[in-house]
Amino acid sequence: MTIFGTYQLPRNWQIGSRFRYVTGNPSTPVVSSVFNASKESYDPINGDKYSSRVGSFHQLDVRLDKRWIYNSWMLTAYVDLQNVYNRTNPESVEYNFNYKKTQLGSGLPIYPIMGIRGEF
Amino acid sequence: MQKSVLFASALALVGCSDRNFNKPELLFEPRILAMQSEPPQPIHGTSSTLRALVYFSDSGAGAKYKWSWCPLPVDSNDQCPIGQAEFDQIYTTLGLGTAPSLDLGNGETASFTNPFSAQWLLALCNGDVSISIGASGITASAVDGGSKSMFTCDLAADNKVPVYFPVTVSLVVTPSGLAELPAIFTLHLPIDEAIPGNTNPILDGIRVFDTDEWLDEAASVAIARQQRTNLDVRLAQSSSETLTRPRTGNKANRDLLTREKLNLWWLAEAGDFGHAGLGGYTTAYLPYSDPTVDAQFFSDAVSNVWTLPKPTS
Repeated sequence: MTIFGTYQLPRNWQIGSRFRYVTGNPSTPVVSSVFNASKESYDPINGDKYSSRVGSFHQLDVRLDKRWIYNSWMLTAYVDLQNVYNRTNPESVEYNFNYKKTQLGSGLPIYPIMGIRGEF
Repeated sequence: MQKSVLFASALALVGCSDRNFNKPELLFEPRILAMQSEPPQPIHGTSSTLRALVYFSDSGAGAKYKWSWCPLPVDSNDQCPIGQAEFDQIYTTLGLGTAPSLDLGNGETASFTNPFSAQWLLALCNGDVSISIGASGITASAVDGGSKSMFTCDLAADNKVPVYFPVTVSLVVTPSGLAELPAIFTLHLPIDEAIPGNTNPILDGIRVFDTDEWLDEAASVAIARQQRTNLDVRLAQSSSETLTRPRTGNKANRDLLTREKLNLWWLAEAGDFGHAGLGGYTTAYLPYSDPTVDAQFFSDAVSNVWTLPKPTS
């Protein structure tokens, strides 16, 4: 689900925002492991296929634009602040060597971007 | 046509994570570290002693062991696809007499006797034997020669002749009051008994580099933490045997001899490795293609840089 909107402000300012919500992807959990001495590594023992879900993703982005219009071209400067409330969005489950510990692979934290764009 | 030029800069904030999250060289809890068969490849009618190197965070007293073996490739959960009843049926079908038990007992070590003659293993690998086990849904190759064998056999490097028949040894160690530690190990039973059997390497000792401080069972040598220490592992060259290079997609390498690769693992009880750059290193004798250039790449002692972790804070 995505909700977005922009608002035109005086003097060629524009502010916009986008909110996204996505349910987590189905995943197959590793429920235990067996040490394979011949390979010197652990074999994962999977649980039921797609029996769990990675946590949901949601993120709010805000963007502020200022535009200068000249005769033959336009200059736009912007500040784009992604993941405003610094949500730790899980993207995957990572296991340690023997599958006993897990940690979530997460997406970007709060992420400011500044830029300029010239249009001719 | 509209053209755009875009310049952007971004600032990423990177979070912290558990730096010891994935450090197999640190021992925090009981673990099976290795399994060994002595000799590694028992021929028909001979026995091997099976043992495991287990790390216990305490004395290990009261730990229980359960050994078993499986003549078929294990399933995706590392479980044997047949039980004793099915194995008895296979044995009966083959006319081999009374099947040996798949249960190898509950001792700290176990004994495995190779019950298969080389001829039978070859027949099984080639799919020349018909086996059908209805109850478990397992069917094997037919004697018509047109079917592929149900057994996954090790092939020689330079042709498709099976040379080893893999069987799986399973061990479950249950430390007192703790969860089970399952492990498996593959034994390669020889089909061509003319090929010399492999032997296990024997370490002649480990010492601190350039000293006479030899590490021993009594832990009489203390190695400083958070300081790089070179360790020499003394290992006879003959411990690494010459073998035909395993089959790969590179045909040019197929017929070359290579040296068996020996991996040395260094482990430490608990501790904290700190940031990247510290920690244990695995070491191996480098495999090479021509045994005649032995001395150039090979020495009796292999030096390993090892940094002990600092104590857990």
